[in-house]
Amino acid sequence: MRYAVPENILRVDLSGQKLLKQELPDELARNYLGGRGANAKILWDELRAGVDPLSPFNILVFGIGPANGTIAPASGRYNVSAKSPLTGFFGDANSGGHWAAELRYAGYGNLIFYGRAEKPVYLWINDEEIEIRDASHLWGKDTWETEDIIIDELGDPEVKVACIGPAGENLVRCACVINEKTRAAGRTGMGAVMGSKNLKAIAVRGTSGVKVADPEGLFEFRKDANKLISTDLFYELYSKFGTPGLMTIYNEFGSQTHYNSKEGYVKEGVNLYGEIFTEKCVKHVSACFSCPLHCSSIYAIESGPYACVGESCEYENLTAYGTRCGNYDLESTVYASTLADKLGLDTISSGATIGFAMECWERGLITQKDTDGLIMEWGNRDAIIEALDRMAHRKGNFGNLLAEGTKRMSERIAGSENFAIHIKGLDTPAVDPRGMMAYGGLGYAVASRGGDHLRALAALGYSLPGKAKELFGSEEAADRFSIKYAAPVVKFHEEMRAVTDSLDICKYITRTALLLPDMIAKLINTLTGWGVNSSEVLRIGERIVNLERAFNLREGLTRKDDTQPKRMLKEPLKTGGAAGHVVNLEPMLDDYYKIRGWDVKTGFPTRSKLEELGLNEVVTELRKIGKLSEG
Amino acid sequence: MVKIEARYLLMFTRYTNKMNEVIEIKKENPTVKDFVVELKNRYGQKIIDALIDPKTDDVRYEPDVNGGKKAVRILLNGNMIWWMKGLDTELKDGDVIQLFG
Amino acid sequence: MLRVDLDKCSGCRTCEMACSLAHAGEFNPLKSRIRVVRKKLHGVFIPVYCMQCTSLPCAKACPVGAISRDEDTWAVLINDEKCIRCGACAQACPFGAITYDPDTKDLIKCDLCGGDPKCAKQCIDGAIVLMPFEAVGVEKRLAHAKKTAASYLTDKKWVEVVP
Repeated sequence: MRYAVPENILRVDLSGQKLLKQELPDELARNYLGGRGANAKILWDELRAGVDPLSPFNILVFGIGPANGTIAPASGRYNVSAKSPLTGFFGDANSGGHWAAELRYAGYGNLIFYGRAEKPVYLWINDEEIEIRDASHLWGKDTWETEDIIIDELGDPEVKVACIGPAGENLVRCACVINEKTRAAGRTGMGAVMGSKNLKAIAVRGTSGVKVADPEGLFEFRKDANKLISTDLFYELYSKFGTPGLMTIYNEFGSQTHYNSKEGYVKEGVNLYGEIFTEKCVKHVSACFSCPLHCSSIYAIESGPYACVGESCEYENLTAYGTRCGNYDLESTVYASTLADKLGLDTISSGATIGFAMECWERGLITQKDTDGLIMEWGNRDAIIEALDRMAHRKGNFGNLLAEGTKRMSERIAGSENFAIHIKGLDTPAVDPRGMMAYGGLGYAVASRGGDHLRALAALGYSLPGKAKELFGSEEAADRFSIKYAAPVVKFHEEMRAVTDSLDICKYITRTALLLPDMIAKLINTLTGWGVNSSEVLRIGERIVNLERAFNLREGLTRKDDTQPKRMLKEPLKTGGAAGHVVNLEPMLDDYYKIRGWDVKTGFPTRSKLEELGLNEVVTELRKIGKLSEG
Repeated sequence: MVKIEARYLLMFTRYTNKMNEVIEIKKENPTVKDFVVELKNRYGQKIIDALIDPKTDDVRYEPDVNGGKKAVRILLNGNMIWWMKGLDTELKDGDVIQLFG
Repeated sequence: MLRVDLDKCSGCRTCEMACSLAHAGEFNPLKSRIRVVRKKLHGVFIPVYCMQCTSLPCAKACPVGAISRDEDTWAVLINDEKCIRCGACAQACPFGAITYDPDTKDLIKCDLCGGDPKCAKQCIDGAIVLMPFEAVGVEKRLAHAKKTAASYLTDKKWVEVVP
């Protein structure tokens, strides 16, 4: 009897309109848990290197794991992965809500999509009954209309829908997947891959249950987790203010992204603080499946030109259309965030690209001729909103340029590369790495999906120095400016995050003791009965990180790609708590490669490290393409 | 006399009912400890109970779970005073103290 | 009986997980006796469960007398052995709180877990609690009185000398 692990994998050939249901192999679950890890393994095994990510040859994988659909805390997450049309490397996005639980109850751990449907379709999973349905009446509709029509059509209000909006349909490189209208699998353009396959949506309804190995143990684990979480400082922050609470924190720390990273602290930032957002816009608390943190909220702006209603307005939304663009008006920022959900655009990338365009405008590198009349001045709120719409629809030359993303845009605007803030093509989050060496300086540079904070989320820098000493042997590990401990801090967090992304539970509840490997081992054991210990937990995380690394090397990654934008390396911030600092990357990177067991000069994994992780086929392939370090 | 801008972040407004104010410390070369005394004058013992852990006589960095007291952080100009001289960190005119927790 | 605070309910459905695990040994919302109706964008989440009604409409509808009250916990219980699974109780319940287990076809409803409800145990903010009859409405009554008193007393300065 296998516990907790989802029963099946579904392979969908969209070109041939064929479906294949198979039992999910034990080894896949045992070695990779599920979710992101299983997705990475499937892509490593099945995707040919060098394909155009928007061609029918790309493979799109959805994944959940053994924790989903149970009382494990925050077990409402899923991952969607493919080769990224934005970066050309490992593309992977994670989203919350309740869709993942529904998929679990339908009995599928992974959905794998191949090829391209001739006409727009959507997949309807109704327990064992699976149908590829016509979606031509949905094509062109935003994500909210799409969900309403599908639910109405299928006649069951409990159906959960994940879909793309016009951005995905138009192959906008940062297009995302939206489930339940407001939850986003945001980064790396997975929505564009879905659009390139003419796959408009996946609707799911599941009615089976999940059995676990130690039900009482899991029940007690959850009770203990609730207690640990509720006494944490950040529990109060997240449960009362959500991530908008971080608007206050990061600006006060002087590490927020303002004006396309020109500044780290701006006084007007107070207009967008968590307290203000909560007071003016929040109507009710909201939560993802089985989550005790309930960091989300329903918000509304009741009247005026920016009237809107939505859920999950996050730190990265308020910075994307707010601070990044020099816009300190709350209502227009919240409106733009809601619009991005409807259009199906990644908030970080779309906001960063617009902010980048504004810096180009400020420097006179683009004019109204280039922007089809849009006045891209800092803080021009209506231009931000219009730019989002044009981006999603590739409207006009400027809309089309924005749709290509910051990196490609900077290649076409001479002199702009110096302030195109991305790593490997992925726009970095709105926490300035010059104020967070481990979290941002090293963390963003080495993240497998590009300039990203969630691969590591090494958020010790405003946390307890006491905890840092416990984990890394010195309080200095919690010093946000220290580079000495950046490598072990990032390595540890990357492995724990890979594990939580594969169980598929939310990272935010892994604060306090829940971040520790033996707590996660306990969770895994009550779910599956496997009897893993904490070092095995870290090994699974390490395996996933190395596999994603191998995927990227196969797609052409070199040490040069593990970098920071020039601004972060050379231009210190002028004001705020992080003033005067730049990222000193090279020593951190050397340390990181060393402790990862990778060759320091090239960043290639060593044979011994890969064999230690059981990745022998990876050894063979990397050796063939000359990206293995024989050590 | 030294003028300090006090910012009460997020949940901390529960002790002060406001987000910020200017506090004058009538001392030469005051420290964060003197600032905390000023807070007591304005908000009473309850704010000291929140900020200071009687067991360590230092900032309450760890929550007192049984006593229902949350952890707090004190920042000076955007950085935790932990990295400076803690409560003995010197203040100058125009400094910003941020209180969180 | 169970009482819910609609301001606190976040719609996370942890209660459904606790309940289905406790009663059916698996995680399955369809086997939970508490079901949350989520009207997400309206900002309201409504847990629906047996209200343990005094007038027992379900018991009155039952043709074989399978439904009765446990005098210790006050919970209304279905006797599985007498039950003929006709569903008349489910039809009679004004809340929709009685449902069919999809596998066994048993009629299932909240039984207050014998006096120690598992849903309330797992609800981190206490949005759902077990409340004795006398306590129903007390909190709200006091809160309302406090608000009314505050506005009534705003011009009665003598109150400031009350010890």
